[in-house]
Amino acid sequence: MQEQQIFRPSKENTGYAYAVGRIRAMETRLLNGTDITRLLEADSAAEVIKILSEGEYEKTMSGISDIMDFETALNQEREYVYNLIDELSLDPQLSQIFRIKWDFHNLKVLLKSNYQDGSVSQDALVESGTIPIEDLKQKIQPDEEAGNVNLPQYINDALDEAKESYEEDQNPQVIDIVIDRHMHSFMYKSAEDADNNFMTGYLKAIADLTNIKSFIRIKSLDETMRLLDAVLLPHGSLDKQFYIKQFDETVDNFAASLSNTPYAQVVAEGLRSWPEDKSLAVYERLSDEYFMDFIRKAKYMVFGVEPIIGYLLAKEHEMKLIRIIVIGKLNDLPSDAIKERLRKTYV
Amino acid sequence: MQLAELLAAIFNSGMVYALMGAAAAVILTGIGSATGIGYTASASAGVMTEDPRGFGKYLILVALPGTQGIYGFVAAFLVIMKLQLTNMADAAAIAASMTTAQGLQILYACLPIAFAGLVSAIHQGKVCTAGVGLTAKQPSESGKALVFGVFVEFYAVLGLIITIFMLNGISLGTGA
Repeated sequence: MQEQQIFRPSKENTGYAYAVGRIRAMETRLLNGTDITRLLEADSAAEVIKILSEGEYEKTMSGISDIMDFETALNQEREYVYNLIDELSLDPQLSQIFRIKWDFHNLKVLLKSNYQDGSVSQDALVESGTIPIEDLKQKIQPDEEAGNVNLPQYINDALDEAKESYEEDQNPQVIDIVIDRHMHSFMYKSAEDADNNFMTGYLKAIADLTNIKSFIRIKSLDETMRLLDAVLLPHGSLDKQFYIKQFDETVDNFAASLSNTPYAQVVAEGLRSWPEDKSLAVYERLSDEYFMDFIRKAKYMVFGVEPIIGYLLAKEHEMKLIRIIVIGKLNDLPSDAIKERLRKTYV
Repeated sequence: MQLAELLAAIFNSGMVYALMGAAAAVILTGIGSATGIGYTASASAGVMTEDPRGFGKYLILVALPGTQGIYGFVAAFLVIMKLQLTNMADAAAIAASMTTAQGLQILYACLPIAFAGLVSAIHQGKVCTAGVGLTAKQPSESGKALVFGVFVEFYAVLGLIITIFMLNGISLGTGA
C-alpha cells in the first residue's frame, strides 16, 4: 500500500573518489563494539576520557583536567567533523543542513529560557550552528542599542509560529513541537533541493518512526487529536491522514496496520513489552538501530556523497554514545544499565 | 624535401587509414587509462591522507587501469613497424603500393584494443577504487581486491590479442 522505501543511490559522482577514500580510512577509526565495551568497563568518567584521548579523540580530549570540559571537547570534535565534511563535500549546501540543525536547537533553548526565568545554561547551547548565538539572543530579546539582526526566513518562520503557539497554550512543550516540525521540514526540503535520495530516505524514516512513537505516546496519555495533529512531522512515507484515521483504534490495531511497511519489525518487537510496562525504551533503541542500518548502506558505495553523510551521521551517533557513557559514569550507574541505553555502532 | 614527399605519398594511399587506426588505439586506450587511474589514484590519496602506510598495495591498484594504455601503445607500435615508418625510404615504398583496402584492414585491426581498452580501463578504475576502499578497511585482503580488477583486465588482453592476430594476418605484399 505505501510506497516502499527502496534505497536508491543518487547519481554516481566520480568527483568524490578522494573524499570516499579518505572516509574509508577514517571509518576504520570509528569506535567498534570492542571499544565501546572497553569504555563501559572503565571505572570512572575520567578513565573513559583517558581511553578516548589515547585514540581518535586525542586532538580534543587530551589534557582535559576538569570533567566539565568534556562537553566543550565534544563540541570541538563536532566542529572538527563539520569542517572536514565542508572540505570534502562538493556541495556546501549539504553539509550546511547539519549545522542548521543546531540553529534550531539553540533557538529552542533560548526561546524556552526566555519564557521561563531567562537564564540559560551555557552547556545547552551549541556553537556549531550557522547563526551566531548572540544574533539569536538579540532576535528573541531585542536590545534597542544593538540594532536589528537579519535572520534567515526559515528561522523567522519557526520563531513566529513558536511564539504564537506558546502565547495560546502557555506550555513550553509546544515550542519544541513547533520548532522540531520546522526543522524537519527545512532539512527535508534542503535534501530534496540537493536531489539527494539518501538524505531524503533517511529523513523520511526519521519522520515515520518518530510519528509512530508520538502516536503511541499520545494514545497512552489520552491526549487529544489536536495535539497529535500538531506533533506529527511532515514528509514521512505515511501521511498525516494515516494517523488521524487510526486515532480511535487501539494501539494493537495500529501496530497491525503497519505490518506492510518497512517498520513492521521495529514496531512488533519494540512494542512487545509495551502492554505491561508502557515503556518505549526498546522501541527507541530499535528505531535508532533502524537508522544505523540505513546509514550503513553507504558503506558499499564507491562514488558519491553518501559515504560522507554516512560518516558524519555515524560520528554524531558515536558522540551520542560517548556522552551516554560519560554521564552514566558520572552518576555512578552500573555498566549494565548504561549498556541498555547504548545502540549498535556504525562499523 | 624527402619528408614532404613521404607525407604526400601517405595521404595519396591507403596508409592514411592505417595511421588513423594506430592513432585511435593510442588515443582511446590513453583516455581510458587516464580516467581509470584518475579515480583510483584520487581514492588512494584520500586513504593515505589519513593513513600513509601500505603505499605498495595502493600502487598496484592504481597501476592496473594503466595497462590498457600500454596495450594501445603496443598495437600502434606494431602498425608502425609494419609500415616501416622508422625508415623514410621503406615507408615511401610501402605507401606507394598500399591500397585503400589494405589501409582499412589495418584500421579495423586496431579497433578491438582501442574500444576494449577504452571501456575496460574506465570500469577497471571503478573496480580498483572499490578495491582501495576494501584495502583501507581490511589491509590483509588487498590481494582479493586486485583479483577483481584483473578480471576486467582480461577483456583488454583479449582485445590486444585479436588486434595482434589481425595485424599479422594482413599482408602488405608489394608484388603482383
